[in-house]
Amino acid sequence: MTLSGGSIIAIKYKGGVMMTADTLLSFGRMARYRGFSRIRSFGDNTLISFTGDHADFTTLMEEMEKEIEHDVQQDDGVVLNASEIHTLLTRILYHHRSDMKPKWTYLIVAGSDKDGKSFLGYIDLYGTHFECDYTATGYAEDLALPMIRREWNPEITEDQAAALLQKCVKVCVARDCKQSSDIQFAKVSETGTSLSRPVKIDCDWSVASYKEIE
Amino acid sequence: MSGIGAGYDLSVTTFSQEGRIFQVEYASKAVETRGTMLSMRLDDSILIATEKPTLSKMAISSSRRRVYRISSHIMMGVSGILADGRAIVEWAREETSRFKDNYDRDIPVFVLAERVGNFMHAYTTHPSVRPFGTTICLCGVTKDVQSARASRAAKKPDNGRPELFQITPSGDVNRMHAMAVGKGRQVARVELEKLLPPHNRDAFTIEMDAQRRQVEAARDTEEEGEEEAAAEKHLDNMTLDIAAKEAVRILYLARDASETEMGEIEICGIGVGMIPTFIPAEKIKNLLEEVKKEEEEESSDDDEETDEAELGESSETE
Repeated sequence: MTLSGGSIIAIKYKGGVMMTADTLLSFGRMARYRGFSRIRSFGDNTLISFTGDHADFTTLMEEMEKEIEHDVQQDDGVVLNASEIHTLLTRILYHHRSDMKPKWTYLIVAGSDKDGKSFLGYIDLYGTHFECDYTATGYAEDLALPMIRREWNPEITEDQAAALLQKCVKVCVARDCKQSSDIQFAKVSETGTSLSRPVKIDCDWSVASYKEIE
Repeated sequence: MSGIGAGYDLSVTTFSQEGRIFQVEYASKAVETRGTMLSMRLDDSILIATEKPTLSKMAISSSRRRVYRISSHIMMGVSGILADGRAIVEWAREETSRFKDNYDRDIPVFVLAERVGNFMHAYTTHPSVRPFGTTICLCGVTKDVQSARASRAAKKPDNGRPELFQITPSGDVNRMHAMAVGKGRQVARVELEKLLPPHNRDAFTIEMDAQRRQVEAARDTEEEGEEEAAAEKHLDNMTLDIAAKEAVRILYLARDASETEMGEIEICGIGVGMIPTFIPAEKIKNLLEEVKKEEEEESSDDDEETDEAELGESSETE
């Protein structure tokens, strides 16, 4: 058994992309390590987060960091943007799965160009990939996506996006046994990336039935 | 066979009777006859400046670069034969990546300098190869025990310390405060020596350094008021911008006066928390104009003084 990360939810809003992930690494169903940041920022304008195997993700990120350093060495003024990083990761993941050694991760890549155009992309361990306006991995794919579909529109503001994600995460914390209530929010816009400190999601457990049994 | 080599100058595997290896010395000549390159190590940054003689009117001015990024914390200046230098640049980039792969930290600059030195030295010991016709200027920011200790003494976060190395065709590695090689090296070295700080901080251990700073600070406060504390400009108190202008001035003074026009100047800086960054050509052009004007004014001032002196003399005689 290995360490793994849980769900991610990400949505575009007017002017950027917002992403949320908990800060837990699970060992099977055991909450093994808390306070681990699963969202990485790359360069000025890209965020990457993962669901799945932590070691595989670390290896992929090392490969990407080498790629970024290679850019610095080339010194031609070219810096990979989010969409290019996404494409590169799709190739890497597809290569590994074709080798019969898949990297067991579901990745979400979010970014924003200098002209304010947002990017949000999904990749899974088979190399399946697509761009989208909102997406989720893990259990949140079933729990959060229907809620987002109901409430999301392209004109949604940053505050509305934060509120929507908060609502989705609350459901995940209540329903998904591998979701911790310490959540990180991250956003990327023209001005760059920002990653919040872990915040506690307040869940009301008074409705839980085990209380009545007592 | 006659002349200085007298039969001993064809191979790097044979010493002459005086104990010299002529091919290596000739390689140094390849550096001495080509464009000037200088480098200065400041308090928390380093700069490399080169003058590139114009190859042809048709050449695009930004081509034939002489300063290269090795990684985000190291850069390399190449003097002498550019193609030889580029081979070293490529090797150094690979070595830097290799170190990072193996140890998951940035290679300390002195480690890379020694490895580049070894690499270049290998080409002075085999009959089938020739030495590199280039002197390398390797500089960057090193984070190690020493920088950690220094920053702890100064109660600042450890962001590393700047290091500058000169590596010659023979494979010699020297830690430098400032360096100049190429055609105008003699003039440039004289000018650079004027900018050396009063104390060579590398000559002290960190503890002694801290003591010295205290003593100096005490003396400075004593002297304040008594003397005009017009602090002399030197390498340890210059900003990168001021140093860039100083570099342009030195290159201007060290220019080849037989040429009608100066070659293009290229300046690249690196510092604590700053990746190797080129100064825009436009800015360098402006700096050169400023420097030219100032130098001309100075020389015309000198002329006036001599004129007055002559007048004085003549009036005395009258």
